[in-house]
Amino acid sequence: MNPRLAPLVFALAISFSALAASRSVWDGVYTKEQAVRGRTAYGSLCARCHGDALLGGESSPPLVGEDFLDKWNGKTVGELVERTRKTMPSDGPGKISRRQTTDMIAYLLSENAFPAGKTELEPDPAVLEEIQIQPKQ
Amino acid sequence: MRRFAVLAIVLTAPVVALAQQGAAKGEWRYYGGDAGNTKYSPLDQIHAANVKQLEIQWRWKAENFGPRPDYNWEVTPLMIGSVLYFTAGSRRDAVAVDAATGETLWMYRLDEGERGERAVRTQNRGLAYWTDGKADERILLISPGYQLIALNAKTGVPIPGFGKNGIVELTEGLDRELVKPGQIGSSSPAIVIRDVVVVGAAHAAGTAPGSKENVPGYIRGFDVRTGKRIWTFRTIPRPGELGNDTWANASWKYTGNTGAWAPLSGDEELGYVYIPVEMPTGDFYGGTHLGDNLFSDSLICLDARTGKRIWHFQTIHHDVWDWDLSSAPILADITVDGKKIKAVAQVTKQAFTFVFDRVTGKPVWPIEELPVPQSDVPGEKTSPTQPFPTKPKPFDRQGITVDDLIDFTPELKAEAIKIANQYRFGPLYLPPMVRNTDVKLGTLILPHHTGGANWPGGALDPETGIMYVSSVTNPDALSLILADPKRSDMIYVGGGGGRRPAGGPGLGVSPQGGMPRFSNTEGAVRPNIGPQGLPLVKPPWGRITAIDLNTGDHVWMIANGDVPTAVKNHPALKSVDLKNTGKPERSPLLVTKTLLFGADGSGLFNAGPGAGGKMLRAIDKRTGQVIHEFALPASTTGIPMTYMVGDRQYIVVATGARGVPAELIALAVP
Repeated sequence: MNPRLAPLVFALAISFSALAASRSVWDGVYTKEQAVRGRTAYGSLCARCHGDALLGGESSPPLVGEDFLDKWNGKTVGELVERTRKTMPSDGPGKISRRQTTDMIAYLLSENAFPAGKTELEPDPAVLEEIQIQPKQ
Repeated sequence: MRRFAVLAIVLTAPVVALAQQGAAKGEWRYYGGDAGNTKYSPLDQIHAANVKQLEIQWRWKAENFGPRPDYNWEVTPLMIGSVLYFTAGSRRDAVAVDAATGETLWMYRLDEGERGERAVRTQNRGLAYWTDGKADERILLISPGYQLIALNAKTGVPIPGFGKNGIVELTEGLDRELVKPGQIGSSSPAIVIRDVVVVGAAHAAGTAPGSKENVPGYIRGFDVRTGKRIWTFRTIPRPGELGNDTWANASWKYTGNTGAWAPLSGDEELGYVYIPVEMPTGDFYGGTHLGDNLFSDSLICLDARTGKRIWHFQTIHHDVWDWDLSSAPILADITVDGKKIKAVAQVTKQAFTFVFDRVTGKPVWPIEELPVPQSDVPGEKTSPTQPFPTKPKPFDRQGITVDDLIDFTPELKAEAIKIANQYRFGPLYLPPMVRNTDVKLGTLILPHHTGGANWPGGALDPETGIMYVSSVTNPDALSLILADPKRSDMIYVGGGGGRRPAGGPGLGVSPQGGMPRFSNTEGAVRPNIGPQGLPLVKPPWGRITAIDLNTGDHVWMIANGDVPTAVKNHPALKSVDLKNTGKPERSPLLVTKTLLFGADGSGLFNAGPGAGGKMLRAIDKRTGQVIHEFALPASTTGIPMTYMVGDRQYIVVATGARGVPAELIALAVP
């Protein structure tokens, strides 16, 4: 590397990382269309345990509201996607693609009143890992 | 030689058709062995002296049945002739298998599309069988999407003259204009009594329902030859029907559930069926349907031919604990104070055994209406009294006192008290509360809403009148939260046991109390709420109790299984030598001539840490002493059954575990 460029690259890396790390669920990280797709998938894969209203069931937690957000605040969308992908549906986990899981998480974000944006939530673990779930600042 | 002698006895024994006599002729014609759900077989080729020799004879794998491999297979096969019949896989296919070899003979698969995909309660427990005594033999299947299918037992082909091409639509006739996919189904098989197929119903969990409105779980009877609906028994009565006035503010119009999701029982000789009914919509808040709510939580005796109510008994008035009648009623012919009684025993989630004369409904021992604690939830009105049987005494702990909290070390006891004091706790029937009322997070409930006993229920030895029941001792915290009106018109819904105060001393590593649990592949569905992830109350955490139904007395009680590993290896218990605590899961039970078979159980359904395991146990049914235990390839998920084919007695049990697809395991002595 040209040694004269090194500080610039370093500065860019820092600012990228700062930018990435500053993204949160309040930044419009999914689209309405994606949430609609996620809703359909939720209906066939999740609703029988978590309910059409996402309020939870016998041994299935609510996916909206205070209890859900308490559990996930401080974690990342990446963690939520991976946990869902690996453990759900509990009667046959690990079979849903990361893309479909990401759509379903977009639906959960919309149901938890996080704003939609102009770009879809990409099923890239590195990108998802950078999006924080947090209370409104 | 012994084997042949046993066979001769079996072959020459008179054919016993009575419901409460156990499985006859070396077969297993009903889910519970006989129509009375005794789970008893008089076979004794496998006995105390040779049970140690049991070996796996064959395995039948369910992995590729249904779109997802099933691992929580709650099935018990039927055995008729020399063929096993059972449901398999997450699509609930019907399968016939050679009972001696495990070879698949036929399978029937119904793709129900969306209604199957969205089906509630995809567990499958099995099938019903009927024959006219001649050539007509039928297998009755209830699909996940709630259709009743009659199959030719020899071929697995739907019977054309039954319903429409072998299928009867079960969502019709429920007094609702629209029944949506996923609203109603059935997790237990039908029962056939007097040529009538009687069908129950199961619904989605009512922890936090999206609406107070739901489909009612009526009980229906269908002609086994034609599929024609003969009768409907409305478990939520309409105007003019008995019990309608127990639903205040016309709540009978919209309230649903009140089905019978547990297996049903019947008495062919009397022509009666015995229906264990669950609670109405909304597990922990009843302000949307005030009143006693007949026939919720009732044991109902119906005439199988007409559906006419013969008698009923409501075990809980206005249930706000989710204490559905969750297991099959058990029919028993007993002698009490010299008097012979055709009885029916119903074990419950809250650990009672209600025993009635099954002809008249008269309690065998007095049942007292006693005052109970009252709810302070706005809009709720709990019943001032609840029924308490004077005998038998409860088979598990009811309610919590400070003395019940773990005291393995003084530190743990202090921690347990601190945790318990965050909640309201007290006697049985302490109702749920609104979160954070009086600075309390919620109510501690023991047994919690899945029991106590649950669907595995009990088994009966008809020769002695002794009933065996398995149960769990595991409290939980309940609280109500205001429902978001955009999501539910229930006013209050279950909101778990409340949020743990941040940094509270001694609470740092305790899991949050609460009811909805994150089910995952590594951990328990239901974390402990005691100190440092330990159980809150003293062991045994899982037990089997033997109760003599002739006297109402307990005969013995044993802990079911060893100390859960997570407890055994817990750092806070280094200096404590724990033994015989039992695991927090219910043992499935099978009774034979001399043995009681039990097991660790699945550990999959709302179970605590360390629940479930591979052990199957042969227990001396007289004493409770474990004669032999041995590991199966995975956890027992269904209730074992037994039968005789050729010169051999087999024991067949469904197994599975997370990551281990379901299998049937057939055992016999060499």
